[in-house]
Amino acid sequence: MESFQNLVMGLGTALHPVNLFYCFIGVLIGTLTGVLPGIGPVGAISLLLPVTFHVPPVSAFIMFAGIMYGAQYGGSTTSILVNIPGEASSVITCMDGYAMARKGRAGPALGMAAFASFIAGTGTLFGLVLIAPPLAEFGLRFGPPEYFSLMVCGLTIVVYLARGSIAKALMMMSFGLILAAVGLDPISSHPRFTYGVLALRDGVGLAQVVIGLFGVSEVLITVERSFSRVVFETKIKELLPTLQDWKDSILPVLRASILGFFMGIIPGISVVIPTFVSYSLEKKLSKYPEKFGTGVIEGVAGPEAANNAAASGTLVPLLSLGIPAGASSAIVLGALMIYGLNPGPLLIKESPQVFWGVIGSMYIGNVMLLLLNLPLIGIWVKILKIPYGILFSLIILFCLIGSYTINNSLTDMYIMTIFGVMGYLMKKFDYEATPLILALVLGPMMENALHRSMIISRGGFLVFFQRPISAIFFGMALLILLSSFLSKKKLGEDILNMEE
Amino acid sequence: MKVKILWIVLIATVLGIRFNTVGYGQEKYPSKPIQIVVPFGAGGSSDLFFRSLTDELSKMMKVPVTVVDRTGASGLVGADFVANSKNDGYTLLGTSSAPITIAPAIDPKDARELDPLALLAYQANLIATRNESEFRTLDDLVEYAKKKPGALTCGTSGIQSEPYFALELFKAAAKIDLRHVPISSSREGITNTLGGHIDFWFGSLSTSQSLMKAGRIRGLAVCTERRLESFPSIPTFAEKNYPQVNVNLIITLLGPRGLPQAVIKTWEDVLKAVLANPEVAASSKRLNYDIDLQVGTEKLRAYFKGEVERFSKIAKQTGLRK
Repeated sequence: MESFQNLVMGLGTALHPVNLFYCFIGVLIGTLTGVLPGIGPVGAISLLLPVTFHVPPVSAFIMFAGIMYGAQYGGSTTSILVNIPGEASSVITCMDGYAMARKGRAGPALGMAAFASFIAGTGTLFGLVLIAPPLAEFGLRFGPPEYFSLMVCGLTIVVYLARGSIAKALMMMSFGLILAAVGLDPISSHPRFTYGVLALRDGVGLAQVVIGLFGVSEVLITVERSFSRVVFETKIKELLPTLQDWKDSILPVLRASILGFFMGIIPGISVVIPTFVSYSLEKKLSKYPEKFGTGVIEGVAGPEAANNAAASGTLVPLLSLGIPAGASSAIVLGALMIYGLNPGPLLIKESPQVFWGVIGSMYIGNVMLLLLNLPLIGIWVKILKIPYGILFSLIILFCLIGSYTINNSLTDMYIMTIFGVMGYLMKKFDYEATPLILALVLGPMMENALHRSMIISRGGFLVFFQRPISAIFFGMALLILLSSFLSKKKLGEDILNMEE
Repeated sequence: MKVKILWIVLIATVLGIRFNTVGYGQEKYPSKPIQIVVPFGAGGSSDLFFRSLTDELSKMMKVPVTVVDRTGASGLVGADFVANSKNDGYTLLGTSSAPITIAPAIDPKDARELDPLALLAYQANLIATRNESEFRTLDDLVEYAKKKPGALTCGTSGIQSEPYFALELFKAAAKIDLRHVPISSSREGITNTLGGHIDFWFGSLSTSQSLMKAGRIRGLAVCTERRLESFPSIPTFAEKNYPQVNVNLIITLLGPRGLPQAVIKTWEDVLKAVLANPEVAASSKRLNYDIDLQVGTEKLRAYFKGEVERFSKIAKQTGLRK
């Protein structure tokens, strides 16, 4: 119960007017970076870093944390409105979110995304306060073999991501894995598929591919259809989720919160993967899986809850071991060092005020985000009424700026453009982009994990089945594959249909 | 007649250029903002080091000095960008020495034309293990590895990194075999060490520092000349009779080839003043860096050349370089 006393103290710190101010600035900037494609929280935090040297560390840290979770709220906005994910963690939200917007239900989709984020964000904080330390120790049991089998398991959920043909989804997944092989070999550092381009040595960036495949291609395909038509013919009906929406969403939100939180604990799993898993889970459990992708609210609620829950989950290893889970938390930790604080297991003991102040501010920040985002829905929805010519030029402009700002590199802009054209062709021939993104996220991690496992086991493949956690994941992967092959025989039918 | 006019024009142009350059040269060097390109990610240790300096540097230079991250290809993208910038001293490269010393050692094509301005500071590399490990000292490690060659694993952040070369030097010096596990993210590396998935981690102080303080990770030996102030109980490799294992993370500032003498002089003076500031030393210390300023473009060029040769030899021995 000591945790709760500390939490109350933390809330007190967070409610200090100055800290409230920094919290608000943080969540506002976070929402904006989330909305703008390409510009992520990492860039925003590093830009603000020097400015905050003269601010008390608690306030600065509160602001940085606000940027980090604020971005998770904003990322879904553009996914739903214009089919461009603001962050990679909102890729999956495009599928049903954008479909809802096309049916005139952009308001409920945006509203549910905000509520789901809020519920997951605040709910999981309790889990964080109560059970962080033992969970962090559990996370340490994930070595390379466990990662590899988890990634294999992750790849199999592609069968749930396919809206149309499973064969085409598998083709896209394979293509994603090939793309993931671009860059330096993780062991020998030999360049693969780089053609002498320096920027390609780090591989094809996820954000560039996402912006191209979703953003640019969407513009191209709509322009082709007809220039004079209005974007959304149906009138925008309601602005907030209806009672029926809530009934459909509440269980997915709770499930995704738990799932996202636990996946977030495993160091190195980004907030992206839980969104894919949550979507697949909801599709599997749904009474009407065939409707997924046509604008069902569960497809928005689940993944949006999952990414926020995972964001809190990633704080577990940070809290108890001082190991940041992703790039943005690593920057925040680095900043702590400049302030003379000691990021790591001792942070809670040495600077309880900073630590609990930030946790407290996260409750307040989530409330602020909800209050900030709900009134914004009205404004966002109006964006859809902007004439084509202007809206599309703006989208292309933001796609270009976004891809450039990732690394200040022109190569990234070219990559983005190439994938834009490719995305257009993919849409014309009914190939979906989501399996490709899943493979591009999982591919490099999978390759690294396989390599490392092989070094550790001296080339023995049995290591994957001798370690219990790893064996469980392989079992799950097998189940997923078998169930989809046996019950639906969809792949076989699919291939037959294609041959006809 | 025509020839005469041509001559006059020519002479006038040459004089014009001369006057121009003289005029330029007399204009005090920093007359517009200076950009320090850091070729590693925001929040990384070299990025934070230079960001913590920008305030003081701007004050001394009387123009804004800003940090811009151009990441990619283990620092080569940034190095390439600066090497191809104008050599007027307004675009400089602030980096750890890996892109200057290690990249060309692995592939000579990756060498870039740069003028070193200074070495600023260094951060210790060290070999560490988890606290529960049976290996309590470096001698335990060596003894076991001699009995069972290749049984132990040691992680580094990959063959493009300083610790990998330190590890290879250690293996050669102690005549032992450790299986190398490249883990590019040091966060994952230290997690794998804590979880016991790899036996040792060779990396920079900042990754393991807080976990060593908390008693979860134990340092076995550091690459620095002297013992660390913050962890005086960890011996140096030199004390253990492996003085050649001395590869640390060195922060350096470079410019495009052919920097004007005035620029070099200005930077040497400014760096001397800024790094002597006790506040700067303290903030560097917090980032696990020890200030050790060394200037002199020719001297540093020779130093880098020596390092490239030393690393090339290792790269050839291990088959990294064909």
